[in-house]
Amino acid sequence: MLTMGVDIGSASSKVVILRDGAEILAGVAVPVGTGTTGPARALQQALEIAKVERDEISKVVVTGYGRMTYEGADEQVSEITCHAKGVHHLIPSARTIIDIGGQDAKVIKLDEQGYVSNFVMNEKCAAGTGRFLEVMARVLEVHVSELEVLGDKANNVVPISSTCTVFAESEVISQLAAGQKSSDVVAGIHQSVARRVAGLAGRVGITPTVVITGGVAQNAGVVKALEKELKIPITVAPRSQLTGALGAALIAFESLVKASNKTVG
Amino acid sequence: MDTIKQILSQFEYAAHHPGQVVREWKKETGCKAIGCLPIHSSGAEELIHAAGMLPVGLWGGQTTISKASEYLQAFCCSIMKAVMEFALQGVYKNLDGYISPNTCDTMRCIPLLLRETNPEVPVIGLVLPDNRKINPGIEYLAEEFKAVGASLSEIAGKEITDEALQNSIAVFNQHKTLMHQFLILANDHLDIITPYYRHMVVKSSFFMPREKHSQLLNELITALQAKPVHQWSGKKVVVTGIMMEPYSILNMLSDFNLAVVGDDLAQGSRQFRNLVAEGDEPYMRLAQRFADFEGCATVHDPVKLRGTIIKDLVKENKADGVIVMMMKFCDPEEYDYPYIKTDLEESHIPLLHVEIEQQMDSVEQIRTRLQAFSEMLKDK
Repeated sequence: MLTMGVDIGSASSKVVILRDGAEILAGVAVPVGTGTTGPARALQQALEIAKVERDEISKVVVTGYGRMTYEGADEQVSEITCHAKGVHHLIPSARTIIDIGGQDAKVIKLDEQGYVSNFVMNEKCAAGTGRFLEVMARVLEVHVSELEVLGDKANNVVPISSTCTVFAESEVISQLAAGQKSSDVVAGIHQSVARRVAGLAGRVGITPTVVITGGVAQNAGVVKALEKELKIPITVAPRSQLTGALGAALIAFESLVKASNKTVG
Repeated sequence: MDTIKQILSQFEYAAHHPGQVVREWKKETGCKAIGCLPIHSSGAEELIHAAGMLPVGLWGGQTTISKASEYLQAFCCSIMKAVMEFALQGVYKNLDGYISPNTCDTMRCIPLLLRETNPEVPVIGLVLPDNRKINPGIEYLAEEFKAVGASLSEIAGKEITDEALQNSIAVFNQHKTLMHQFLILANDHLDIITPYYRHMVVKSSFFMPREKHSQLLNELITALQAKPVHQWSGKKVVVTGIMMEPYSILNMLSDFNLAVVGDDLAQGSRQFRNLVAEGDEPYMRLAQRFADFEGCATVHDPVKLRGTIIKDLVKENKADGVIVMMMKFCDPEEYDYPYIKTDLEESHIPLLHVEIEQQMDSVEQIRTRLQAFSEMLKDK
């Protein structure tokens, strides 16, 4: 039985195609999100990789910021539930998930069965999210994917505000104008994201194993800074961008199994 | 339209058109109307009624803040910003005075701002005591109510007699009793009394004359009692905070099959749960009510009873979880939150914290939170 999870974020679109709730046939992330061609492109690419037709997929669950407007799914589920499901499937010992996406940061607590027991999200502010890193990368004239390598070369950490992206942008410009090395400024940017997310995490409490997901998890500089702030090792989820879509595909599979059990019963 | 729908539509109309309600009332009676600022205008409302005037709750609303920013800082709550904006735009032009209690730090400066910006409309400050439970505090508040009553008499051109005040207290007590009765009965009809309509019934009480509201409540209670009990298949929540707006949040709760079965909202049960106790001296009776009142972030409570009150609401109403509607920049509520969180977590009651503002253009983040919370409750 084939199921599909579609995770439409603010900055990227992800699709996972799953066979029998276990084997990942395709996992695709396209770097544009809701309101763009991203969801359709991700879907097409995933179908091509999995070598299946859309009609062969028994159920589609959509999640993410764009879930309310996506018409190609049978059901929509919040990204918090989907990330929990996806991460628990990959790392059953996970008790805390830190998900940093394009414009959201979330900390999710899981119980032993992998169900959500509590969660917090950032408020209406880009500080501590992927968007914050994108804005800073633009000021530094690098691509967001280059921040990790640049930050690795830092000798010092130039403190950058974690309260507001706009203020932080001015601070970065001022620090560069004052002659600070861009690598040291990047280390400060990573620390800024980490401090913001650590503040969020403190509200629900941190229980090991801590797993990080979302696009920002691919920046080891942020992960290291976060480990330092939280004083706890953090596991980066395999294919960290896809855990929401994977969770959605798993939820689709489980609901089909449940429905067929009911019918049989 | 069936009887229940018809009654609910009357509550809905009043909640959505407070200005019209006030205009109609003034036209019908030829009497004046007094705006009552949150949260603790109770007591003053009975005095307004005894002077033959209409108390009108002023809890802000959804508007674009422009002129109010001249007078209030960015960190003031959206309710007070909306109140100032409405006052400056002339929305309150049919009001003949204001009651402004010293509910919080922002509200301490509101009487001055209203006087400065609307000098023609009298503003009566109501200074509530912090030491509200000791005899000098109660005696002080009784004197404060007498002073407020004298100012109201002047506006009304009518003396407030003890007899009239005792009668007004009885009218308000009866209304509170009916509200309590309705809120309990509503839990047997969660298919009809959705979060939105529950709020409409409560909110309209801030604008309609209490006698009229009580009469409609009586009719609604009778009509609901005639219906079979509905077995609610969704999840049940208790809500706490200052208020539960914008309206879109109420509809989201329904979208996710969440019913409100109890509340500890300032613009809700905190207004109804304490009756004024019997007694011969009406001003002392009003002051004693404030002394007996518990569970509000804006009144001094050294033992922090609010968590217990919310836990009891959960138990009594068989709720599955609690939603804290945190009004952005409401310091007193923010200070209470850690106590509530600890109390509920110790009792293993699922809790959701949602930050709200009256002027919210986008509620999508709240949608995700409510949906995830409903999914979390379903998995339990």
